[in-house]
Amino acid sequence: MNSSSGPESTNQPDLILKLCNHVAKNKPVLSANLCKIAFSFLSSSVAVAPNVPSDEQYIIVQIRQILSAQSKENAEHFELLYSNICKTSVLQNRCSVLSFLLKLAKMSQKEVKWNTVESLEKFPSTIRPKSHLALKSGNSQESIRSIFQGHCHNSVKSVQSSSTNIQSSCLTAPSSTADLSLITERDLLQDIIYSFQGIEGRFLRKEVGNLGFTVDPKAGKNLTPIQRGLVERLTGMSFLHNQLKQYCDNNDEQGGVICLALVATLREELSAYYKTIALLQTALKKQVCIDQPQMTLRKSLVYIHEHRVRFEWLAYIAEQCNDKKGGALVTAVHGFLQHGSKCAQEVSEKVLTAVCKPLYIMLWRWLLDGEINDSCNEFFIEARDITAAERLWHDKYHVRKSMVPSFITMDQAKKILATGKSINFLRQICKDSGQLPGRDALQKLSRSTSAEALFAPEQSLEFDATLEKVYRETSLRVLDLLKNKYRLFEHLQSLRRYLLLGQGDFIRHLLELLVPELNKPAQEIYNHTLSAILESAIRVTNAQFEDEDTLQRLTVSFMGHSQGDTGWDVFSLVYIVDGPVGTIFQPTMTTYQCLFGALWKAKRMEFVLANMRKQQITMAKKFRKIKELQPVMHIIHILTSEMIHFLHQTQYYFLFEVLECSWAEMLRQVNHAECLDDIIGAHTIFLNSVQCGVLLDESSRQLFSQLRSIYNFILNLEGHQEALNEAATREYETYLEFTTNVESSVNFGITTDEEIKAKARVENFHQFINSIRTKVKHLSQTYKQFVKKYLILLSTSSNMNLQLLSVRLSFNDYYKII
Amino acid sequence: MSNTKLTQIKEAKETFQALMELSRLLCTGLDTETLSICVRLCEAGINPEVLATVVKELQKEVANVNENSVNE
Repeated sequence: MNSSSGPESTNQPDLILKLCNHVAKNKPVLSANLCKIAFSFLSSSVAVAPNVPSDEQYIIVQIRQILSAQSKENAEHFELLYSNICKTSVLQNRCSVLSFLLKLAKMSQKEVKWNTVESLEKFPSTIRPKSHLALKSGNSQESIRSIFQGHCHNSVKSVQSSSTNIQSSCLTAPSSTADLSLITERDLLQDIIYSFQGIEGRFLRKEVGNLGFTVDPKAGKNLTPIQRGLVERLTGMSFLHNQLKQYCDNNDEQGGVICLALVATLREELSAYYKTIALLQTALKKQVCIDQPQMTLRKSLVYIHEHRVRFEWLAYIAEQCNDKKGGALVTAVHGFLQHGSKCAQEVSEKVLTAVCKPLYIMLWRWLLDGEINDSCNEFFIEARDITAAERLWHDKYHVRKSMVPSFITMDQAKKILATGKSINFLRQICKDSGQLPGRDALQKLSRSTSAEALFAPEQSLEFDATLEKVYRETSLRVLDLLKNKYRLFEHLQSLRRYLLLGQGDFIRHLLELLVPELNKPAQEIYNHTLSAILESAIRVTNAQFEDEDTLQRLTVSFMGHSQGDTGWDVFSLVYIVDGPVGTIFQPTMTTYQCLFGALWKAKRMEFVLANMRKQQITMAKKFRKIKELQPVMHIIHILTSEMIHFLHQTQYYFLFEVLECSWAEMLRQVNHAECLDDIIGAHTIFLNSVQCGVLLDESSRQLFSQLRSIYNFILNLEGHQEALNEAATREYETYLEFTTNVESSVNFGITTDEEIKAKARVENFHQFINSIRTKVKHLSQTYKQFVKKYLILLSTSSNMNLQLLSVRLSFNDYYKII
Repeated sequence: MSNTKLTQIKEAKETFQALMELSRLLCTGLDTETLSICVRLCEAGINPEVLATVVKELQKEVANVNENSVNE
């Protein structure tokens, strides 16, 4: 700095005065004139352009450009000077000084190149000295002022003629500079705007993969590092745009409604973005001159910043949603809702609201009307094809687990499923087309709430409550219909009475009537005879007072039989259930058949044993005289008693401990049931526990086979006793005949021949008794073994009740199993 | 103390030399005095671009006056 200039004044006016004096070379008149000009400029221009970009790097680059255009040495010299300037701390406002120098340099450059286009454009008073605008001091000042106050050069008419001239030269200027190794910012910006829309430009080329853009390597050489950085940031936007557009195009056709909703939202965002691009483009067009550009790379970066952030999240969401559809897609979007970034939350909420809309509509349709309109399998409830109407409840509708959105819990999903299923059940199975209670209110509610109710925390509570209400009301309606119209309880009672042998007198009588018929081989039995027997059994017993409808449902059936089966093996009672209650009972009918089989068998054994005991008593009276019969009868007697004890205990266990307890429990549950599923569940539990109790379940298979062999012993013993009875009767009758013959004989006695015959017969009879005796003895022993084994199995069972049964069967430790 | 002041002055001189050289390189046509004043103005926080315009303007005005006087 010039140290010789005395005390340094730092205020601007003084310095300006000094400057004017210096320039005017101490001519006072001129100096005053200059001062006026200078102050008028400064005072007005502060208002016109208060802010100048003060990026030092930018200025340096521009200086470099100018100098390198001149010569290489100059450029190198500049680098040296610049580093010197940078080193010192004397200059506080280095940037400002540099900017001043640059501006000055530019102005003198333009003076040479384009006839001072710049200064003419901005300050018409500086038109070349030759112009007709006379430079009378006052006049020029006025014109300058008027120009600045009007912010526009058009106010001076005299300039206009020359300014058209100037403009044309100005328009051609940028292209000429672009050809000279310099890329103007304007051109670059235009290219970037193209790339924003996915179009290649002069300097920007598409990358491999067709998504991103890179700067053309040739053009890239001429970019300043700052420009390059800016361009790279800006092309990032183009990449995002292309990615989103690609997603939209790819998923436009395929995918379901929910996917389309996502695409629509993305397209909406894209069109908002295009609007911004259009604004950018207009701003770019408006600016005619390059020097004070209205639109710069920086500004455009600011312009699109908001979109950029949104697009980043949208692209991320779109990427997550790729290859997903329906509920899975909704889940993917919902994941972003919990994101910490405010923007991510906003964007994801918007997208989520959009994608939930179709889901919401589907959901309400399902809840209100039980309809599924879901051609692309997006809804989280699916309808399958079913063969029988009874299977509607069980098989037709399912929750599609992969499609359940994350904001709906599995519990809710099940309730939703049950609600729609109930509606379908009412409509299709019960033919109940009446309006369900409370539907109107619900419909109103569905219209008033929006899709946000599904995931917004406060509203989702409300949604949950509504769902609960709908579910409850629909279920109640179903239960009401089943209990009252379709007499669910009566059916349960009938099943209990007839298939589970609750109606004792009827079963007993039926058994008695059926014995001769069922002893025949299976193939000789005819349905109609059995039906007739069933009819008569009903007529004679208390079953006749039963409801007509119930009795009509009761029929007999045969299971498939093979060679050697008797009627006992194939006979079964059947209770036909159809209609809505069939939904509950139809799937369990086979279980009922099994249970009936087991109980029926036990009943039959009881019946057989009772008959045996009766026969034993008659035999004891009848054959009192046949002493030889007594030992064998004794064995049979004891064995029968054992068997009766065994069977009574077993039956007691079956009928009271198992059946009655389970039945009571089921009734309790059915009365408290809230929906059809509860009843079905209770019924299934009941059947399972009974099945387990009568040893028909998987774990007690061995026990059951043991029990069957014990039953077989009973039947064997019955056979033996029968045979014995027959033989004894025959023997007794022949003996009677023989004695009467002897008494009434005219020959006083018998012939030797007859005597030999009689002896042989008695001998035969004795032999028979002996053989029976050994057989029965053997049978008794093996029976004991089987019972022991059975008891051991019982006592080792994990079921407490079975252990107790074992204790009861061997109460006084008769069998000594341990 | 005086030592640091001396170095400061020396530094200032060097810087000014560099600026002068730069001015010459950029063909601004400023003499030492003018540059010195302008640098000080810049340091004082004046808008550099406007200042540049003013300087240019003043130079032209002076040139005009001179021309006129020569013509007369």
